[in-house]
Amino acid sequence: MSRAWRNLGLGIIIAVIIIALTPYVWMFLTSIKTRVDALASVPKWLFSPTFEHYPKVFIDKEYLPLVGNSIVVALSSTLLSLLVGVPASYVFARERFAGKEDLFFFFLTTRMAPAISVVVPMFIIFGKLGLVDTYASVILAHSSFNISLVVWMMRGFFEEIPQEIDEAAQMDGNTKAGTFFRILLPLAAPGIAATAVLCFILSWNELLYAMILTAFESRTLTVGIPGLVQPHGTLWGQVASVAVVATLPIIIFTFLVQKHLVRGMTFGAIKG
Amino acid sequence: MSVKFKNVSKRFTDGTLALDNLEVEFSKGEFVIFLGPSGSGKTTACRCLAGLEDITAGKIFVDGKDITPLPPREREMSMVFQNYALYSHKTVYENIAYPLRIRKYPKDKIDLMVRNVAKLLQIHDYLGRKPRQLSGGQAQRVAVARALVWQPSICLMDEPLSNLDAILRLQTRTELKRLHEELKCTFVFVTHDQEEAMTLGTRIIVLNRGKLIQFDTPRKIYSEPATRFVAEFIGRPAMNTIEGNISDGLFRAKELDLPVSRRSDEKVVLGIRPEHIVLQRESQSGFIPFTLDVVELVQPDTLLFAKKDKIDPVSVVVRIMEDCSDLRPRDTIYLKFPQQALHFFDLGTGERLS
Repeated sequence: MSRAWRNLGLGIIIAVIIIALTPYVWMFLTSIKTRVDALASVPKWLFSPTFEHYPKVFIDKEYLPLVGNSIVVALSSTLLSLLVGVPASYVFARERFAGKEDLFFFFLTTRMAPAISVVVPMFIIFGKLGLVDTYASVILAHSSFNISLVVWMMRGFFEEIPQEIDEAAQMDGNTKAGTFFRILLPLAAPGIAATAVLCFILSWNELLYAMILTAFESRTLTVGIPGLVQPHGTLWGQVASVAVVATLPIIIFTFLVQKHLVRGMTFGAIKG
Repeated sequence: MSVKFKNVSKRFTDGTLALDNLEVEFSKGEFVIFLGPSGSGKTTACRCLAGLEDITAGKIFVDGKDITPLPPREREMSMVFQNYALYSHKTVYENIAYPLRIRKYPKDKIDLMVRNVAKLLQIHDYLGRKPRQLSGGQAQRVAVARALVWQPSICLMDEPLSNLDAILRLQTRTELKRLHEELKCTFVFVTHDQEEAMTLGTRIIVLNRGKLIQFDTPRKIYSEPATRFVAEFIGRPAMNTIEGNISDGLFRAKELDLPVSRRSDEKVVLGIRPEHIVLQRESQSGFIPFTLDVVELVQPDTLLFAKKDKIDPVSVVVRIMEDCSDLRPRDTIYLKFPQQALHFFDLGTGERLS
């Protein structure tokens, strides 16, 4: 590659990074600006920072438990989705049965309906079951879309493991279940990690289901943010500080499994 | 101990008949080869024996016991796969120890058995490595070690040498033969390479299109091929086959006329191995003149491709174990087809004629 092309490529990458990061930086700066600074008609780049919004929103307004709620919901729905989705994807990858591809497509179609059209019946069902404003309702709702993601991604991972590995494990003395748990799960671990992170992110960021299915007890962090838009004006500093905290787990997680995530993503795209 | 395929047929869901009424029996300690071209059903036969494929009809017996309904783990067999199928997340040691762990051997015994088999296969220096850090040859040995460590009654091998380079393949071949003699375990080996089959096997099962063509010792398969297919499949270069008629003790074909000891009038295929043809540079009685077409050196031998007539589409191939550097294309050479080296096959069915 010539030097000019290299520099052009580098320039484009830098531009994309700037475009992607600007809102985040803006958000962070807003979270440490006073209300006056935040609302200045000409954006202020030099200001004396304040950390007043963080204790105000997390302690005074009691937003701290919402972080816990988000963690419980995101972890539980991720776990549930993996428990159901990983064995299902293994069956899709390995077994031959009538209507397999149709069923697989059906799994995907569950993601195609707009969330708003699904959430109302869900609200009614959960209402009848007495589950509204419980963790269970949000966990189940989030699992409903995460399971199809798991099945879709993990099928690709399992298909990349040669069939001979299953057969070798059986010849070595395993049952089919033993083969799955002892050999294939450890081999698919990078894929499971990547899928888990995606599930976690989707559940953590989800707003619509959580907003409609929860009221107070099991509110997640994303549901808390609209509560800061008040009749006498939006509390931008507090909105920004909640948003900053809300992005932290995602950033940490993504860094931790970055390598697997990239592999997992490209794989799903090609093989799924 | 014996293994018996009784009228075994296998039809895949797409309708392909991979095994057609296979009936074969071999005994303990043999090195049995399933040999055939691709699509002959040799791998399917091996996988049916392993229990990795259900059979459509028939039964498989081991020691008189019907093992057809048993899952692979209850058949007491091990298998070496073409691509080795090592567990990439486990070390070499753990790969080899795995079948023992599943069978709940005590820890100290596992260690002893793993180290013994590793020594036998000269992989004791790599026990701590992961499979991705091994060369093809090393990975292959690990796969063999994993298959042999628990001393199964039968070890199946599905083209285990085909991913190795030529030199390594020869070395490993010799080692497998040594292992077999040392361990006295029954080896069932699948290959499409007739040289591998001839050198390794105590007996060879030749398959074509799912059917058993011949089951015999390598020597017998070479010297008395049951059909034209076997004759042409075994031996490098392949046996010369010439289609023609016999009448009045004379074999007549486009390429040549040849007196033969057979008397009956029939349409036959005459076969003769390239190494059985006798060469003379000068005319002699009983020798037929041919025009030399191509000379190939396959040290230490020489292959001569000769034609009776320049326009003949097919050459007769002669394999000579002597220096033929004096011969040039278009030279006239004189060939003799000794009576005792001739094979005859039915032109229609391809069956050997006695």
